[in-house]
Amino acid sequence: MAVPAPAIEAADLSYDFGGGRGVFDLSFSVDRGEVLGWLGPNGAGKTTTMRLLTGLMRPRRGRVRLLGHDAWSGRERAHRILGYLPGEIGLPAESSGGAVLDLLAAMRGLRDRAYERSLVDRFELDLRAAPHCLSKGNRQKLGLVAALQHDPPVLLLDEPTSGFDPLMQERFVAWLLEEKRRGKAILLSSHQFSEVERTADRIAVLRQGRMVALAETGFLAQRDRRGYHLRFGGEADAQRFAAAYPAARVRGCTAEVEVQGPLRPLVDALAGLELLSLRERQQSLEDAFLRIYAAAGGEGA
Amino acid sequence: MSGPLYRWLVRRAARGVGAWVVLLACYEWLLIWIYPSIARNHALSAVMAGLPRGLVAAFGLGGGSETLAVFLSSEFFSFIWILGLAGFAAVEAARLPAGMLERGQLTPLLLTPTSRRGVVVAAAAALLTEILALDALSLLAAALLAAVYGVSRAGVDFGLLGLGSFVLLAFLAMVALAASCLLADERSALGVAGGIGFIFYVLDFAARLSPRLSGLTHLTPFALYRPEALLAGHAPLGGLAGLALAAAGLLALAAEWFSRLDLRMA
Repeated sequence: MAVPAPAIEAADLSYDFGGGRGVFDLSFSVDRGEVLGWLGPNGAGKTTTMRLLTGLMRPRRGRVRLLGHDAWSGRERAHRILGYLPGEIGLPAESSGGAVLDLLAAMRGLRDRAYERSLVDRFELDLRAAPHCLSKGNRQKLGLVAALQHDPPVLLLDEPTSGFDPLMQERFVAWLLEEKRRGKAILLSSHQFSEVERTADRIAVLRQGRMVALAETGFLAQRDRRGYHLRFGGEADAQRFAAAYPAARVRGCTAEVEVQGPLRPLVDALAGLELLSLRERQQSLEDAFLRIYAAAGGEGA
Repeated sequence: MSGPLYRWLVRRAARGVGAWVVLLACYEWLLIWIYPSIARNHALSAVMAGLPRGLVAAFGLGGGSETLAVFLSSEFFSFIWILGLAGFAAVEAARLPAGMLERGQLTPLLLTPTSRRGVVVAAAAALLTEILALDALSLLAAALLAAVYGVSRAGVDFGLLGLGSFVLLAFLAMVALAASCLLADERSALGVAGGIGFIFYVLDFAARLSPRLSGLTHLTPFALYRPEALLAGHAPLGGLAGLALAAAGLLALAAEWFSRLDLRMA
């Protein structure tokens, strides 16, 4: 049986703004029922990639296919199966959120609006207020419903929970997991690492427009890797520990170590020393991101 | 063309069009109200007769104020009315699509299955509807006011004036729409469209000012719009048809360009 083609497929995707800005040689795919986390600091090229995927921008090199449709030359067909929530939401000037949804539904030729209603109910969106009168969070909700009212199988979400309160973020994560189970292909860009970690199957890290990592979420976060914070009775003990365990980072009476695999070498190095406290810290996706970014030569790691 | 987008754009502009119609009607009311007293003022006619011929021709004052047609064409339709409507068309065209693009309002619309060409054609159709409404309603107001004040409309053909002005305004609107699509920047589009419109008007003005510059009329569409002749029932129909074709060509160019535009912003 033939393996179905990926829902999102980018090959050698490049767009050069000049001055080192843009995206370069990006190749990746997203399958049906998969969430790909799209991480990177501001200016790394996340939004540019999304705009290339929507057909708003034309790749200088490479190509994008969405369920077999070319994102640029076949964009009218691609837009039937695509839902894009931009980071900066712009909405047509209208008297109410409901009127915005009506306009977009008419332009999409959408008759069955049951899915739209389910989104409005789930995210408790008030459709009576004008878009320009809405708070940041409510505007985000309206943008989300406007982008996804036609229940598209391919979703591009750029900072989707920006402005959401914690309860609404939780509701969004639950909804995203449901959509994944329904077989949607989702590209998720977010600075909320916990949100990405809970929903993404794989994660790509961008730095200066290039992909510096692409791996399964668990592998990338290295969940079997643990960090320990140790506090000794005196600096002499801390120094003896540093001599016995060279990977440790010692500062005064304290030390930081990272362990992947058996704990025996650490336990042996601590033998005979006065250890006042030991605190374990599991690696998070954020730690992994900072580590990858530092290894690739980025700042702030 | 996207029907829902067209209807939405027309509905959105309705209030602005209404305000313009009221403003223009007020000005027409003022002119028609004072017309009988000016028509009886022989001293004013003597002053007009003493003006240089070039100046009289440039401002369309050739016929004096003997008839309502001549009076309105010189005082209103030659200058304030046509430039006001041209300004309205330029502002509206710059807003569509460049202004909406800059404000990010066009992005959700461009992400529907509607083609970009369809979006531009809908914008052009809405723009032409607004111009037609402004043109027709302000002329209708003039005709009604003349009837209310019992001013004779003998020899006044508002229909032909409407046709001539509509074709000229449609051409200028398509120039502005093409600038809006090509530049994708509202302020630049308005500057370019306003600049081109102003140059056309100045060329026509210069051509009327001096017989030695009359050749300039071949370079400006304003030469096809002579309110005094149109109101008297004389229309350069061939020239107007050519201008309408040029407007259609500009629309096709704008739509094609916009469909290939790399939308970095918005």
